[in-house]
Amino acid sequence: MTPTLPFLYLPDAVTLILLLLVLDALRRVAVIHIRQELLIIRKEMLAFRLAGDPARVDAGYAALRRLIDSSITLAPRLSPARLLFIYRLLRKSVKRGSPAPPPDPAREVGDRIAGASDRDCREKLRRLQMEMSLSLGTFFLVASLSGWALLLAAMPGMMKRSITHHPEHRTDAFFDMAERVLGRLGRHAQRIGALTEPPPKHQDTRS
Amino acid sequence: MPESKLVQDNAQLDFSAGIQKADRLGAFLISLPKWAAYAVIAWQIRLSIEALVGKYAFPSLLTRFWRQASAWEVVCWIAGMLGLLLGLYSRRLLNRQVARDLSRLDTLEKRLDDLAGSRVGSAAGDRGQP
Repeated sequence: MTPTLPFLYLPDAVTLILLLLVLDALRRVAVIHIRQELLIIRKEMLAFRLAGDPARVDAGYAALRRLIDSSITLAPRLSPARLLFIYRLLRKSVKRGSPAPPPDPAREVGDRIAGASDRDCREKLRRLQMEMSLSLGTFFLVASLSGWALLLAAMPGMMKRSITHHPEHRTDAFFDMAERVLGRLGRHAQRIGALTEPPPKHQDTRS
Repeated sequence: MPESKLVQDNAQLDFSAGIQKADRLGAFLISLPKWAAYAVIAWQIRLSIEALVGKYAFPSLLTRFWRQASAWEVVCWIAGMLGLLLGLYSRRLLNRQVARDLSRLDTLEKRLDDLAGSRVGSAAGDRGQP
């Protein structure tokens, strides 16, 4: 007579632990990856500064540098699920007509960049800011489970809208839209994420 | 202090408290799936330990891991192990590189800023300003 062996759930537990660890490792690697991308932007900024007059610091330059540094710190907190409730709170306060609207760092940096006297510098900084927003938007959508859910929810609408374009320009239209959406998402994520930061103790007066 | 300023400060404080609360809620929400998975894992391990306490512990362990494991499970384990090793390796490597790059950039930018500051100071000195 063969004995009845009890069924063990241990392999399932092993699978689940591995899945958890892998997802966690992927998220951490994505955070490091976005930090690296932001560092590349900072390096490009530094190269641009060194190519001109290194001793001259533009207000837009300093503001963008601070924004990049703040994004590097904020990166682990940027995911749709984490920021959902803050986003809802922000929308409510805007609807109610809050007396002091929360700051929008990306817009402030944009204004400072627009005020730069040198045209080349202005264009370069504007492009770098856009690159930063795009990177953050992509990270926001791709680097978390809730981001994937958001991406899946947004994809059919984007496809539908790009299908209405002429077949020749369909791909361009899709990428244009994706760029716009990602840029906007990146700016919003940065803004909402910055709200969770404690206020700075001292203001940098260099700019 | 004017009343409108007080009202504005209060609204700002309420808003900041609301933000903190919403942030904590978000952090709790994203930790929920992890805790649910931990609970399932603990339950599965408890069931397995109970089963292993019996008479046929070793044969059942061997059978389950060797003969009853499906191809999907084996694929998942191999992929999981590889992903884990790669993840840990990249994390270590990249973390170190990011920290090094950031400190280098900061040092360089600080030197340049100091240079800019000293140039502004010397220009002010030339003009006779304090």
